[in-house]
Amino acid sequence: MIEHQVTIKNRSGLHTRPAAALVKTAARFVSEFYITKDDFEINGKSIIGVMTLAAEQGASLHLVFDGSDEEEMANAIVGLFEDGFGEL
Amino acid sequence: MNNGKQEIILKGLPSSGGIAIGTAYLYHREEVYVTERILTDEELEAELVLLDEAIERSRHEVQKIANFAHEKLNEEAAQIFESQLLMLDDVEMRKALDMRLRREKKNADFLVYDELQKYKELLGGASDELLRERVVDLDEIGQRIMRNLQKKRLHSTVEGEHVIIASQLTPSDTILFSKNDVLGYATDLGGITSHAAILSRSLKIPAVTALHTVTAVVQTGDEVILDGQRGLLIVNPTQDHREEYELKLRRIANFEAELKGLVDLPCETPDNHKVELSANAEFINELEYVVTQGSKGIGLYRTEHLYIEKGDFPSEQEQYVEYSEIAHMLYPQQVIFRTFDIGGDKLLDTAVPESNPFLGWRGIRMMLDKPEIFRQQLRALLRASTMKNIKIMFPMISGLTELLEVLELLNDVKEELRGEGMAFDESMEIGLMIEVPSAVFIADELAKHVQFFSIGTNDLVQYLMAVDRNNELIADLYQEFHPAVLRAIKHTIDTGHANGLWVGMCGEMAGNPLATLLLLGMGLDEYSMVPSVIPEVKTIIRSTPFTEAKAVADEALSLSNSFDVRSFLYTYMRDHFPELYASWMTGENGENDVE
Repeated sequence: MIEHQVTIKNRSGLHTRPAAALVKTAARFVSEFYITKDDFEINGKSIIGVMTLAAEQGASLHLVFDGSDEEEMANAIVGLFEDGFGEL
Repeated sequence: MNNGKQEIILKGLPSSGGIAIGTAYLYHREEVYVTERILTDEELEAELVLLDEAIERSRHEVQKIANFAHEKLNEEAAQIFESQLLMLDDVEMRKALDMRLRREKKNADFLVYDELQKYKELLGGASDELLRERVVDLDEIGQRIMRNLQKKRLHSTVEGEHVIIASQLTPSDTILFSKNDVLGYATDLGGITSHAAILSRSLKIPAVTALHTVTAVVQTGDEVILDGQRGLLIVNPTQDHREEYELKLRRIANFEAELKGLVDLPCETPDNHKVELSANAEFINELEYVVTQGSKGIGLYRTEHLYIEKGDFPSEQEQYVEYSEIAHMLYPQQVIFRTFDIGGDKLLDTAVPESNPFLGWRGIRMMLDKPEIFRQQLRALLRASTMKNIKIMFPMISGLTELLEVLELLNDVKEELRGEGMAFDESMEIGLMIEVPSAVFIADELAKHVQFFSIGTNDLVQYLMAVDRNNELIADLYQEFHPAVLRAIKHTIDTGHANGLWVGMCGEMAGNPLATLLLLGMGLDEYSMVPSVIPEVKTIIRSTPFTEAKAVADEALSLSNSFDVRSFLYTYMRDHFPELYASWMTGENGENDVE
């Protein structure tokens, strides 16, 4: 299991396009992926879950990856956040 | 014409431009209703298969719409449906449905309804418009799955040409109606940034949203006029309003025919004085139209919509993608981008209410207070300039210090890009809008630092005359032919020319055919206007010698009040352009008094 703490850098937060990019990327891996924000945990592979997070710029998220390809998955997902979903 | 029924004018938000005249069709979406039921064990296995099939069928339906949006519309439109596809495939929703089916043994359509209700409650409390839009999306996919579970067909086709009146339209409604002969959309709810509004714009279907009571006021079969420019719906219009709008529609139709003959001809007087006619634009999907209509590029590209649609400032990358797409579409024609002009009537949701927004924190004033955001826009514009067909202008400049501050920031950004090895147009022309009276009087100082001026008459007139044009009590004092306005324009053009600048105009006056010769005679080099008036303006310029236009301008400038100027110009146009004059006389009735 790998854990990461990330901050949302892109100004519009996890709105339609970044949320779709996140879920599509997560779907490429078999590992489980959970996101926690303010004690509220959702499945990172669920677009509805990601939407209900309503995560805005500056929000701090706790990411958990668990499974056979957890390392690759963590790299890909954390990369998306660091890159501000290509919106920086 | 209106069968004795009282005319009612409803005011909403102008969400997609254009005009529609026709009969109303009151659309009630067929909601799918569910009743809770306990299943037998045999039914349970069949229900699981049914759910699979219903989701699969729903996916197929949305995929078709997504493909259409991809091919015929733009990426923003397609993204709306891509998101809906992801919702249909949502693992958590599916897990929850399967689990509850087995545990609670209830019918699948009820469980879909109940499960989505939970998600909607989680999202529903949000005040953010973007989140509220997601509730509409969730509702739409929920309804779709339930309908497919009940094996019902969707009846969202409407026979004949109508203006669709609805409480709210979903993204799919908007697309599906457009495949019929829909004339326009008017809705109780929604907003400029709602998905349905975004789609209406890319479909080029006029739309007015946030009318609040339209479904209560309008009945199927009522005659309506939908004005997507001004955000009005006129129900049971009077004869006058009907004629006025029919004329507007005819003008739009005539314009395309007229332009075919004019499109390749230069905009030049018989004695070879050339000027440029360009178009004002705001949305990327307007450009196709502009390109084919023979303007010389874009004289004013408003960038605020990027902010308004998103509800926030777009990133450098998002802006770069849009700006370079525009530059490519227009090449070799030029496009002048105006940097963000937010504030005034283009309200910032989060801004502190100002008692005097037009005299407040807007345009360049706001951008200089938000240098990080301003730098991103400048970087994006510079990066998009590699084809050398982009110019930048700044709104609301009121003094030299402001301009120098802006230019310093621009040079700083250029230096930064050079350091990063990013290419841009080193010789890009920079200009400023002349729209604050103080800028007129120090035009000579400002001219030393830029390559062009663009006169923004809408604001210039309201600031010079101290008149809020939206205030009915004093709207008649808003006079673009006031001698003070004419002198300010003349002074700006002369000062620009004396300093080697070219001078354009991008306010409404540039597209007013009554002002065409006056401005030509004053020496204006470029007119930027809504594309639909280009043929009239071009016809006037191509038929009048420059020397004659100068005489018209001299005469107009010698008159002492607005009424005399207008009478002189009307008389001149009646004598020299009787056909145009006749069409204005019918159109002039109530041109400004619909509200």
